[in-house]
Amino acid sequence: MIAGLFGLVAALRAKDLKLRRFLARYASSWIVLPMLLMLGAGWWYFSVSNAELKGEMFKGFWFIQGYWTALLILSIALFAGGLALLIRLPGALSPAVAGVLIAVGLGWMGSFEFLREMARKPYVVRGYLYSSSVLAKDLPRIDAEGWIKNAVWVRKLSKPDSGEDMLASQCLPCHTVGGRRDLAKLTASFDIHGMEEQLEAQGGSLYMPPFAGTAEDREILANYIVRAVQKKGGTDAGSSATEANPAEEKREGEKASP
Amino acid sequence: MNIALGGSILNAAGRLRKKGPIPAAANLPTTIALAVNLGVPPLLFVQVLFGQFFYTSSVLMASYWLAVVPILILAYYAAYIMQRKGRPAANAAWSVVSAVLLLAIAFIYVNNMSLMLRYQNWPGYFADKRGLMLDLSDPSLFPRFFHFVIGSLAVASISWSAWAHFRERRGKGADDHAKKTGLKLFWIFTSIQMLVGLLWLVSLPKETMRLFMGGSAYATILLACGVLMAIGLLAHAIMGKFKIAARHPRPDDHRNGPHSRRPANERPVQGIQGCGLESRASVRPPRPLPRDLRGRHSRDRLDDKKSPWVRRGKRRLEVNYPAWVIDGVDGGLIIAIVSIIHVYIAHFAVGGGIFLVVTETIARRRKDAALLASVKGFTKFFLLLTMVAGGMTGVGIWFTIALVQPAGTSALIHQFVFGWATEWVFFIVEISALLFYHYLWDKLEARTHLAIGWIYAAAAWLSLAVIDGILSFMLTPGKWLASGSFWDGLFNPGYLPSLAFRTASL
Repeated sequence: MIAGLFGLVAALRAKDLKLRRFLARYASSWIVLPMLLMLGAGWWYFSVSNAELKGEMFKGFWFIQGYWTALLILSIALFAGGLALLIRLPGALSPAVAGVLIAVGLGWMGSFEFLREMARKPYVVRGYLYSSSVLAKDLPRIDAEGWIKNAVWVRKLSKPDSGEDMLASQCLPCHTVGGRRDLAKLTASFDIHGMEEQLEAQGGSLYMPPFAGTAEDREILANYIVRAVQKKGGTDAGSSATEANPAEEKREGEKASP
Repeated sequence: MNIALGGSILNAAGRLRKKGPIPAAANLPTTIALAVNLGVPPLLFVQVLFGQFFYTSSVLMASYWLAVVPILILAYYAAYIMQRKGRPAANAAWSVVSAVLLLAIAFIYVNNMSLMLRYQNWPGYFADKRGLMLDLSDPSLFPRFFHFVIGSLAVASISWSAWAHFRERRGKGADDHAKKTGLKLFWIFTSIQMLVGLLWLVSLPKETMRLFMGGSAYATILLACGVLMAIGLLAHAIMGKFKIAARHPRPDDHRNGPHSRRPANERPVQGIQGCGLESRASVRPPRPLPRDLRGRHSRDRLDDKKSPWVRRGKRRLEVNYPAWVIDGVDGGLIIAIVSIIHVYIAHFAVGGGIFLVVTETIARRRKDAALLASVKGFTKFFLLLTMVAGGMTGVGIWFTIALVQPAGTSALIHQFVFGWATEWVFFIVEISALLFYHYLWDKLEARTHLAIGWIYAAAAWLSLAVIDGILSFMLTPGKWLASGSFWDGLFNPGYLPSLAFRTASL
């Protein structure tokens, strides 16, 4: 399919009109025909992976809907564009048309790869290594002995420093402060207690890795998030949410923590 | 790599001095491609053996380290752009751009090598996690940098002579001027190189320097061999230069004019005397080995209490690397940007190869000259897009994942080290075949040319088939989780469906 998309460039370069129409048709057939195969192969790929993940691929992943929709719409756009060039309008090929189709192809590839990456959450290697760089088999030991005690890249003397380093290692692989998946916004409704509860519960969400560490580690991180991160994000919601019901916070936290 | 860097600098200097490009300037883009390609195995094995140093130091200077990828792509395109005909001023500017960018990469690399060794500076990470650390306080940084750069100039110079020599042998006409200039520059740069080498040696930490001064027989003998060979090469270069000068007096060369010491009709010397040595020209005074390569001392070092990553007694846990933090951007997004661009172009690199060779076959069967010309023109576009942007972003993914997820990258590298190595073999077959396919389009018979096209397509697809194993492994490791076997990991449950899907989307 992609070869056909770029093949349109070859058609554009042809000066002779007849050759150009031929190449436009020819390249479009490289777009359209493989897409029929892709339908089957894609279905096979999805069902094998989903079976391997015991039907839990994307379970609870409310936030990926956008990528699915994008993949579907872009696939249809590519197929329709290719088909139109192939059957009816090879003469309509212009640099703009080719450019748009190639860009749509890039978007298509992007949404597919995003979906594939998302499916792996909360792991880097499924069942082996979490996205927080913690090996699954190390988790019980870290939970018992402490993350701060075992980690190398952490300052151990001051709690805020430890919290900052823990944040960098356990949260920031996926989150940011002030950007995409902004922690300041996502945790805005938490006080320290709510934050600790969120950390304790997050392993159950299927897409966030469990927090690795002891209750003391959790407290240090929750303190850091509420005192430093929320301030950096420009909100003071941390103190105003103290009255909220912890159960509600937990639900909110799960929703709000892709 | 030396020829690419040194050649680009010499070329830019030649352009600036209005002497025109160096004779082999047209080969610079190919040299860059080969340098990058041949740099992949060292990059693989440094991760296998010294990941704990390499990943850490890379993360500490992550922003610069990742910048290597776009800088390299620009330098590479500049090396192509500077070849356009009839625009000397613009071409000179582009040649300078290319050389300066390559120098910047050299500087970033040297910094990483230095940071890797000087772990006492690593705690600087805690003051700023954005990966902006350079090791400018290392007294050996600049001697090391210049040792590499001047060495590359020397190697590029001698390759210039060798290039002229081999052209002459293939009957493409003698170019004594090129040979002589190359040799002259070679001995000038090598002389400077020896001084810089001395400076570097002195700037090393005392205990390291002592190893080269008799402290370790191995290190001392290596250094002594290097120095002796350099002196031998110098003598050889100077003698060779005189030999050529004596061979064909040139009217524009006063020293060899009618008053030359030797008669002009003297029997010509076949090539440069002992020309076999050219191939050994790359033997420069050896750079001191990375400190931790030295057996006894490396163990002393590992036991050093100051080392932040040593953990005695219990098994070391994998919470071992610093995390690169950029304000407002998460690592996943950076990986996504680099890898989506790469994957798109790389799919085209595989599918486009099949497209090219199939279309060429059709054109040749139909004897359709216009279509054939189209395919040929398309090959150039294909080469420029897939080999430069596609190939470089591929290495770029490695750079990126190592910075964002060192622990995960390390796991993949160690689990699949020979998978990666195999992929590299296909990669080098792929780019060699593509270069032949493009540059020898008119020079080969149709059959041979098509065969090369098919070799390209096959190698490209096979490289996809290997990498697909590692990629699908991350989602569906399957039996590997229990067995830990290479083959279980590679041929994981998701392997074939993923390969089928990607092959269809090519």
